[in-house]
Formats: sequence, structure tokens, C-alpha cells
Amino acid sequence: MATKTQLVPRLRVMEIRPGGPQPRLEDGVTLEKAPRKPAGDSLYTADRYRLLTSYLVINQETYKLQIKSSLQDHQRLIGSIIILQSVLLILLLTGLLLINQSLARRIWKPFYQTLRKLRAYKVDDPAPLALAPSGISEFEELNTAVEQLAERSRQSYLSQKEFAENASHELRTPLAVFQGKLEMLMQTMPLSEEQAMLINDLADASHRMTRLNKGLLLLTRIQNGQFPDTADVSVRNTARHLLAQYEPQIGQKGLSVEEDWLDELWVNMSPNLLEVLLGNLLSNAIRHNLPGGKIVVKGPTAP
Amino acid sequence: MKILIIEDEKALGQSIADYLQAEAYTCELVADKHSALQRIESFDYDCILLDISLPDGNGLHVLKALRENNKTDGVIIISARDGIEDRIHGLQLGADDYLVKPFHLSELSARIAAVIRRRRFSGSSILEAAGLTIDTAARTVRVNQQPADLTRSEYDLLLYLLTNRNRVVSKHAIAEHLSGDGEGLFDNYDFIYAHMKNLKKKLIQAGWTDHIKAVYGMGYKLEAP
Repeated sequence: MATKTQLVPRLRVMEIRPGGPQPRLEDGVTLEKAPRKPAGDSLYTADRYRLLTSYLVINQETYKLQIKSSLQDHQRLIGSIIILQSVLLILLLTGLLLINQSLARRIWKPFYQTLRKLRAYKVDDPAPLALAPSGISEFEELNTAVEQLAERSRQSYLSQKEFAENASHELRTPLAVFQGKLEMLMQTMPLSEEQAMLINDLADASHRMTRLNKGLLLLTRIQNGQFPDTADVSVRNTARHLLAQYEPQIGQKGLSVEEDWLDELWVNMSPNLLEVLLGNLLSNAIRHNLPGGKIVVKGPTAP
Repeated sequence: MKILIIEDEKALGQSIADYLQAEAYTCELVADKHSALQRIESFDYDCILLDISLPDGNGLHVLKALRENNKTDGVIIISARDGIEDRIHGLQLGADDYLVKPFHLSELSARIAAVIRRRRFSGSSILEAAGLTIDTAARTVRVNQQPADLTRSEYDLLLYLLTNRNRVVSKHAIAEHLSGDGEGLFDNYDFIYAHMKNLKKKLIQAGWTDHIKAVYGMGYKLEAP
């Protein structure tokens, strides 16, 4: 769109012949004779266009110059500019974000590796924690510190484990001495009833200690994975075998046993452990049952 | 009968010796592998009680030495280790039995008697005491000539008491003897009382004078003058 000042150098001298056609200047620019020169320029802005009205004096003649400029194009242009700019901005931002992310991922990769390994690490794992070396010194330091920490806690755990096993083992001999002497004490004569009661209580306590110790040893063995003899065992057969074994105790308490095996259940584990497991369940069922009560042995329901 | 006790824990070894001596066994007590090897070289024993963890080496070497020299002494391993592999290993090397510490002295006594029976008398022997005649091969019990029909548990109980006669056998020991491994899971021993009642009834029916006395709730004693 040309301004009045810009238009001025481009004005050509034209002759307006009376009766002749109106000389066409540009689109939207009209020049016509005006009666007289009013005040000054005026700019009219309508919805779709802008109208600049100006008056020129040429050769002592007053002419009205009107320049009309369509705002529609203007608006469309602004619109396109906005859209283009936004798209560019979005592209830029997206690109920046992606680059940032991929850069961050690459930079932090050793960190995330370390994090993953830490999450998966278990103190009772036989393999020590091994972290990948990294070129970045901060991560190297972190890895070294973490590895040392893991190793320390692993050693502590191992020595505790060994301790529990050793303790249980060492306890056996003094327990044996205690039980032996107690049994000898039972034989002494004369023995008053009072002494016998005391000996009885001692014997019960000694018995419980022995049982506790056995339990402790069993637990440490399970923890150490010392039951590698896995095989396919039938739960039903083991349960039945145990029920037969505990028949005297079951009968003595007047318990009735109900068996409900919908399906044969086979598991792959150490048969010894299965027997211990079922034995514990069954003995609790007997011990904590009411006299004349019922034991229900139920197999799994079909899926 | 001569028993050699190889046990480094002196107090325990002494308890065993004292208990067995009441059963007319002659007991010798050594506390290390070296002395044990010396003894078995020069003497024969009816039964040897062998502790594996000796201060100067593994007790199994003694066992190996015994078998290498084709000696027929019975061997019972007494050990604090109760792993299955340990048991199997011991038995494979030629031990007759494997007893895990802590054990009841009465149980040890019963096992010694069983081992001696097996080695000396090929498992069969007739026990006569307290008015009873027990045929251990046939597992029968007679009062004079009258047989008593005992269940397996009742027979085991009677034999146990008879082997440890004139001594108090604790109810814990009886429970463990009768139910093998399952015993420890129970803390009431009423079922022993029931067995005892039935046993006495059957024996008395066969004409026996009841020599089994309950001792103040500690256990039972079979008196055999």
C-alpha cells in the first residue's frame, strides 16, 4: 500500500482532458477534481477497508485523492503470519524438548543403569553388586561408593547368617550335656516329690530348647538354600502319610478327619521340606483343636 | 559288654558312661581321635560311640580304620550334625546307627542294645527279665508261656522300658522313641498314658505282675529285681 508521500514521487504529469476518460492510477486510488480544499487528510477505517482522503493542489487546481486499501488482505496476511510463527515456534519448542530429552537420557544413562541395578539388588544374592564403569567422574564416584556399601551390607548379612547357623550348631552339645545330666538326676534315689516336680519342669524346658534349636537350624538351612533336592511330590500322599503317622495323637484327642481331595496336587520342591510344612500344619491342627473336634484336609479346587 | 565312648565333651561322656554302667556295661572313655585309634587297635568292643567332631580330627577316620581292619565292633555315631548327607555318609562308611545330639540317654541305651543284638546275635535274641520273655526276632512277648498280643507301639514301649530297666525313662524320651520324628510337635503326652494303660492291661491279662511304676510324672520305670 502506498502512502501519500510515497505516491508523490510516482506521480506523473497527466493531462486531464475534459470529456476524456478518468485516468486510472492504481487499484484503489482515485483522483478527482474537488471544489475546494477542506481542512486536512482524513483516514476512514471501515470493517473491510481503509480510506485515506487527501487533497492536492496541482496547478492551482484542487484535487481529491482517495486511496482505498482492503483490510481483508491485511487481515489474511496477519493471520498467515500468526499461523506460520506459531507453527515455527511449536516446531522449535518440540525440537528443543526432544533434543533435551535425548541428551539428558544419554547423559544420565549410567545413573539410570546404577539405579536399575540397585533396585534389583538383594543382600542375599550370591553375586556381589557390579556397576558398569562410566567415563563421567561423578557417576564413577557414585558407583564406587554404592558398590562398597552393598559389599559391606552383604558381608554383614553373610556373617550374621553364619552366626545363626553356628550358634544353633554350638548349642547342641551343651543341650546334650544338660539333658544327659538331667536324666541322671532322675535316677538319683531317694527322690522327693518336690525334687521330681522340679526335674520335670527342667525336662520340659530342656525339651523346648531342643525343639527351638532344631527349628532355628531348619530356618537357617532353608535360608541357605540347603534343600536342593527338589522333586515332584504328591501333596496328597505326603498328607496321608502324615495323617497315618499322627493317628495316635489324633485318636487320643478324639478328632475326626475329613479328607476332601478334588484334584491331585503335585508340587516340585524338597520332599523333606514338604513333610515339615504339612507336619507343622497338621500338628497345629491337632494341638489347637477342641477335644472331639474335626480336621478337614482339603485339596485345591479345580480351576 | 564293653563300650568305648569317643566324646570330647567330658561332661557328656561321663553322663553316658554313668548311665550305661547301671546297665552292667563296662565303659571306656576317650576324648580325642589319637587315643581312640590306639584303643581300637589293641582292644575289641561290643559297641563304639563315636563323636565326629573331635579336637584332633574327624571321628570318621576312626570308623574307616575300624572297617579297614575288618573289625566287627558296632558303631553308633553321635553327632551334632543332623544333615541327611552326614547321616548317609556315616552309614555308608560302615556305622550301624546315627544319633543326633541332644539325645536321651535311654534312647542311646536302646540303640546300643539293638546294635549289639544285630552284630552279636544276628538280630535275634531272647530277653528274659522281670518275668517276661521277649523274642526280638519274632517280636513276641510271653509271660511265662502265655503270649501277650501287643500292638507295635506297645511292643516298642515295653522293649524300651525293658532295655532301660531299673531306670527312670522320661516321658519325653518315650514320646520321641515311639513316634520317631513327629514327637516334638506335641506337648501333651496323654497318648503315652493311654499306651501304657493298654500295655499293662494286656500283660496283666497274660498273668504278669505289674512292675512298671510311674515316677512322679517324670516318666516310667520298669523294676526288674
